[in-house]
Amino acid sequence: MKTGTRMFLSSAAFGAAIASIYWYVSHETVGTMLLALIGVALLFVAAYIFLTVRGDRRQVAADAADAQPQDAAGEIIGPLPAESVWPIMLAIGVVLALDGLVYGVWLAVLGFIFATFSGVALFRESR
Amino acid sequence: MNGTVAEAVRPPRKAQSADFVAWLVTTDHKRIGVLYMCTSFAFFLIAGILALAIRAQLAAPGLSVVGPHAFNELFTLHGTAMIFLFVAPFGLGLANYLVPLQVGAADMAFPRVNALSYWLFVAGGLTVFSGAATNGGAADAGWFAYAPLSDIRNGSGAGMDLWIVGLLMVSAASIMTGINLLATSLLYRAPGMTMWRLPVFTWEMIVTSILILMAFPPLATALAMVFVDRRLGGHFFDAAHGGNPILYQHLFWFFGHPEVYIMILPFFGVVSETIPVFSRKPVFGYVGLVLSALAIGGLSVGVWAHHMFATGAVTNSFFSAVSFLIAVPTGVKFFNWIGTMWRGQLTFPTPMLFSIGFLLNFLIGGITGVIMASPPVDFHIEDTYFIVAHLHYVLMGGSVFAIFAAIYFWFPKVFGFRLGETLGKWSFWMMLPGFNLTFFPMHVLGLWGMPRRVVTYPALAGWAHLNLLATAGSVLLALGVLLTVVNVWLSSRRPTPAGDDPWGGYSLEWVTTSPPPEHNYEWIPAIRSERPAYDMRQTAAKAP
Amino acid sequence: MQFANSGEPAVVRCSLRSFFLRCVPCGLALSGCGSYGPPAGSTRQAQAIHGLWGVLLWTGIAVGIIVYALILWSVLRYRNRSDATPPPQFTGNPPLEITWTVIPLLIVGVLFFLTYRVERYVQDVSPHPAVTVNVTAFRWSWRFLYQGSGKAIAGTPDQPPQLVLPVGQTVRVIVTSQDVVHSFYVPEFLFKRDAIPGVKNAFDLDIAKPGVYRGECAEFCGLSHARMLFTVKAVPAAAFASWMQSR
Repeated sequence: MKTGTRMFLSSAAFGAAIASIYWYVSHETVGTMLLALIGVALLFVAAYIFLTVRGDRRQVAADAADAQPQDAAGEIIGPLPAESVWPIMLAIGVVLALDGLVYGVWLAVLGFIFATFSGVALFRESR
Repeated sequence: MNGTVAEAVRPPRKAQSADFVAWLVTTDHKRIGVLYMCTSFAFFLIAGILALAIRAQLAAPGLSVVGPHAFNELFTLHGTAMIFLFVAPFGLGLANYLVPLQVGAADMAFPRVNALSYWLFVAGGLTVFSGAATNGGAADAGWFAYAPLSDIRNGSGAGMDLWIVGLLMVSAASIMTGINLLATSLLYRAPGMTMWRLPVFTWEMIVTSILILMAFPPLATALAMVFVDRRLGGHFFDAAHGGNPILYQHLFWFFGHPEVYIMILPFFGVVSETIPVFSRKPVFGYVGLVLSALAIGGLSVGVWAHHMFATGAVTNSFFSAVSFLIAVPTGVKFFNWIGTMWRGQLTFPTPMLFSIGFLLNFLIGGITGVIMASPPVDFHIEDTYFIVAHLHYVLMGGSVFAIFAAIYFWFPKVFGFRLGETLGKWSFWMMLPGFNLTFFPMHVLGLWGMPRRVVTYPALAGWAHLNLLATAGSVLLALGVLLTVVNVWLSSRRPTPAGDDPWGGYSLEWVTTSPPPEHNYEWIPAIRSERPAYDMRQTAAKAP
Repeated sequence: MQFANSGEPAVVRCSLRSFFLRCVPCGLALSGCGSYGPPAGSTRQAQAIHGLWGVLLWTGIAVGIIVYALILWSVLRYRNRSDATPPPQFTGNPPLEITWTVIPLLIVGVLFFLTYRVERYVQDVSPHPAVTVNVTAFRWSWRFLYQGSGKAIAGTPDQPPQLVLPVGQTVRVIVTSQDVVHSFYVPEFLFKRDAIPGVKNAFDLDIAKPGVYRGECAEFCGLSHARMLFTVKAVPAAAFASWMQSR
């Protein structure tokens, strides 16, 4: 994943550069903050890719120009999830919770409970 | 959940309902992609009907087809639906379907999160529209809902609150999809599918996903702050209590301008797939296309305040310079597409026609975009119909024409049968003049000083004629869109099997069956270039 | 687009250019018909903007024609004529790609330079304006207050106010808003400036031609946005002075 790390690192550098230039020409805080935070966020992704993905056999195969299809055999990550009812349940919970902010706190509380329950179920299922 | 108990009793009906439930609980990226695209297309049709109502009201000066309040609701919902619920989500839906196939993965990186994204998107869209059923009507502050106009102290009832929470859901959905696409295209590539062999569409989606991650958090922040102002007595944007209306504009456009590229980059990707296939040549300047996408992505975070030139509150020169600059990588792409056609053997089935339509329309939108990057000129045309013309040339003439190209191009892969060519071509030849008749006169109206978002206008010289022309064009455009809908319906009644690779495609998805099996690939060829399907055909032709 | 400088008579221009606009009947009587571009501009600032617009427009048209020609040429020249042999499978041409990166860079560089100069001029505020007007936007009309004289004019949506200004003198306009964001826009001046609550936005106008100019709110501000109109009446300096004395 050298390409990925490099892409995110240079993007982060670009964020830092454009934030500095913007601050230099405008002395405007909101935009400078937003641009600087972009740099930080991209740095975070670059670090994640660099630290956790390198050396992974699947990634090595993906990046090898002359890899054979069987090179990643046995490295397919986990079985595909079958159908799951929890995503739509969690979505319904979130909708109730947010619409509750408009229609009434009781609905928001109901939605929050529903969403928490579904979220926990989704999390447990995906382990 | 899918009720297998009763299956033996009434097999045909039960199978159908089990099918229906299967779509609700699916985590298959292909099904989610199809759901995403169909739902967003439904929002497109609704928003299109709203647009026709707007054009009816503006057909002549002094009409009252709808009242001023209804008019404000119409253009707010039209803009919101087109931007948040159609163009951007259609791109995400298409990517949902294609990116795992193009990189040779069995599914998205996080299939359950993917399903959650889709359902949140649907819920967000319905929540926005549900505002129309409240007492005060739907949101009516325009799609960028400038504070403090969107504040409760300046009108707008519960519809506005529902608009805010609806868009919060859409934001959350977009962010999750962005992460999902990024993880899939970076980490789930098949052996040999190096980054520099990814199809251009996947590359454009990588940049789009990064932009989503940059752009949507500021939007969610701005929306939440407006909500606090409205319902919890906040004063973020209330100047009378020390708030700052400019802050909203910064946050919103810091989202809003990258959002423009979130709505166009996927479709740059689409035509970068279609034009090579119908030119029978590899894409011209692959590296240039990828680097220009990254350049556009980078520069797009530095142009937001060109929407704020007339506020007098920003450093115009900085934003002007970056906005001029972003034309360069866009131009590079344009020349690369022309270079792809150069010395090729071009055929013109419907997807190619729409791709060329994209080029013709988007060019005008691009050129007016450069003109608007100049603050002094922008002082005149900002907030006039010139802007309306420009943004529709980019989003309707550009993105939507490319969406139609994508529909005709990948429909056989998704459903296993083709869309009719005759109706498709009719659809194109009605949409192209219809679109230009509708939106070209708006440039002139804007230059004459017709402001956008007015419910009616004075009968000044020429205004009535050009507005009537625009309305007539919009009817032609709508009929053209309708023909494609009819085409889908007719083609599905008597399906013509498409085969795995009806166009002689290049990217990996044309290797698998149409429609692909649940896990996408029974086998994957050795990947040696950015055109694995082409390589495979060449090898097969050489073998005895 | 704009034909202000072409020598043809107005009727010919209209009938040629507006074949399907059915503009011919109104061609002689109405001035808006002669031009499909922005107004020529009634302030010195607007005239500078108009010149810049011309440069940008004709650059855009030139680029547009070249690119359209390239697209149409590729489409016509290389359409498939049932050749059995596949086309050459080349993947790029670096010198060509560098060329079409550098040339647009130069073009936008020049455009930015021209823009920068005009912007400096348009945004420049004089230290000694002859007249200063405070403009307050509110839903849905305008209030004009002449600084130092106490003269004030306020309008309603049904009775748009008239802002009287002198020709040939520098006028300082300071816009603000008392409720939501509006925008002070006079198309003939090719200029608008947002009226933002809590912000005092100042700019200068040097009106060159007397006349009555249409003004409007350009930033969407709610229910009666379309009716938030005003007019600017530009009169010679002497007439302005006596108008200021009146009442």
